[in-house]
Amino acid sequence: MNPARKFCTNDRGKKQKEPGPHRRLIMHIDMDAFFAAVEEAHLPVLKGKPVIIGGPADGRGVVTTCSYEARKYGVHSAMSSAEAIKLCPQGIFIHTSAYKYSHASLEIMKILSEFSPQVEPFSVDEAFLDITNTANRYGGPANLAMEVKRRIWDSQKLTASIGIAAIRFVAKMASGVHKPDGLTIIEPGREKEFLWPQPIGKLWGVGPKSEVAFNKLGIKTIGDLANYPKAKMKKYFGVVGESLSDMANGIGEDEVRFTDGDSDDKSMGHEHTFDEDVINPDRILGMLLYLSDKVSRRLRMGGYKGRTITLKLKYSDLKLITRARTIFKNTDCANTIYETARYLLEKNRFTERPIRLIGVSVASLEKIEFELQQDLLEPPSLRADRVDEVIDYLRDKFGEHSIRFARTQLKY
Amino acid sequence: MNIWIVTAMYQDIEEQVDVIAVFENGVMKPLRFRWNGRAIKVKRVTGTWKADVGQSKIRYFAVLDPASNFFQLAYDERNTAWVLNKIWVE
Repeated sequence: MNPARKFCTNDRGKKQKEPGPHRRLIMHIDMDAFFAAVEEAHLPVLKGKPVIIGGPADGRGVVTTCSYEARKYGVHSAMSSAEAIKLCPQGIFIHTSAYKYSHASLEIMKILSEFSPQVEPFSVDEAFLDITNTANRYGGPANLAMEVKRRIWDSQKLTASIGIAAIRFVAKMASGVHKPDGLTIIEPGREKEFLWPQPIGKLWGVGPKSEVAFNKLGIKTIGDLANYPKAKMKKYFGVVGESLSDMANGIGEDEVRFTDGDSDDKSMGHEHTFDEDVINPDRILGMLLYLSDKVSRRLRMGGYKGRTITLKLKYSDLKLITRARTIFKNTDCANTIYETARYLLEKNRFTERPIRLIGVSVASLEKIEFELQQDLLEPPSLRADRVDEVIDYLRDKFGEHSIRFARTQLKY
Repeated sequence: MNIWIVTAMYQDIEEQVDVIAVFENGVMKPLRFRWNGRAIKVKRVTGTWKADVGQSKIRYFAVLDPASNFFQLAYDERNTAWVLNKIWVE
């Protein structure tokens, strides 16, 4: 029996207990198998079939997501398409269509904003809402959640799983308890009952490697972690350990980080899986420049600049490596992003082994409304910035593929 | 050895087509289109989305005919032209 079942409310329309006087009510909504569900909504004949969304099935693409029917065969996101085919040869492979999914996502976010002025889009298919002051208008949090589900279904023919709790991360974990189309409410004050029986790997922020490390300390459940001395956690895992110890004890944020209309992107990045493992540095650098250019373009289109540039690599043995560097001044310049990523690549001698995947991202983003002043130490005309301006102009006018850096076009 | 057997897939068409469309409550909706010498009735629009391609804004429509055959239509706002992008084949 699921440990959450005995005190979570999953009955539709059942009268809800009101939140405590000083507790907030946070709702986390997670769309079910979002990309696959959008494809099924557009093409109903796909319903009930194993749908796999991702890169080319006959190449070295990667599964972005898949329907629940495909998951029964062991297919999951981030798996190589080739592996997915082996597991589920009858699967229906569909290429990712970013515009299609982002449009559905925007429509869903619009619906959510009708239920609370405080909506935090957390990813393309997830959001947090503060429903403390709006739940009563619908007769309680469960009724509000059911109305949200109904509105999304009517508009997009998509289902969502919802978790509600007084604490943000508990709401997030609750939304995953009953999937798909679930609703789980953790009453304020009963967080420990919900959390403690669950395996430590279920705690938000604990990945497979941390889980192994915790297990070595005899910590198998979230309850074990809650009862483990916090000072030792800090000693072994630093501030992350301290924070996880608090979470295990039901302590966490109760705020929704909403913005007034503008999306609050945490990072922007692009990655590419090569058709074959690549060791030629020129080809790797060509792709790195191509990806840096794409990230730079997105940053400028969104009006962002960032300071932390991260290089991501996956080798043929699927070993993943990331290295980041924070630069002095935030940037949206393709050349700066490229040169920083290149520095990380060459400094760490990452090109000495065949590379399967390469990616670059920019984080620590700031929204740039307008430039306050030119840096006095820099020349007034920054050549690289001017190049980006011209590239933007041409792409706006003639399309994204109208101009590229020559190096990205080279074949070796 | 290719173990992948394609049983169902989108097939790219990319042919310009004539479309009869209406604006319903300010929302564009295709009603009929002509393709391969046939007039095809749109029974249901199952999805819409937009994309920017250069200076053009493209409105996409996922539609079903009365026999539930799938078609993806695209309307190029700049060139006021309709294109049948894709069909679903099994």
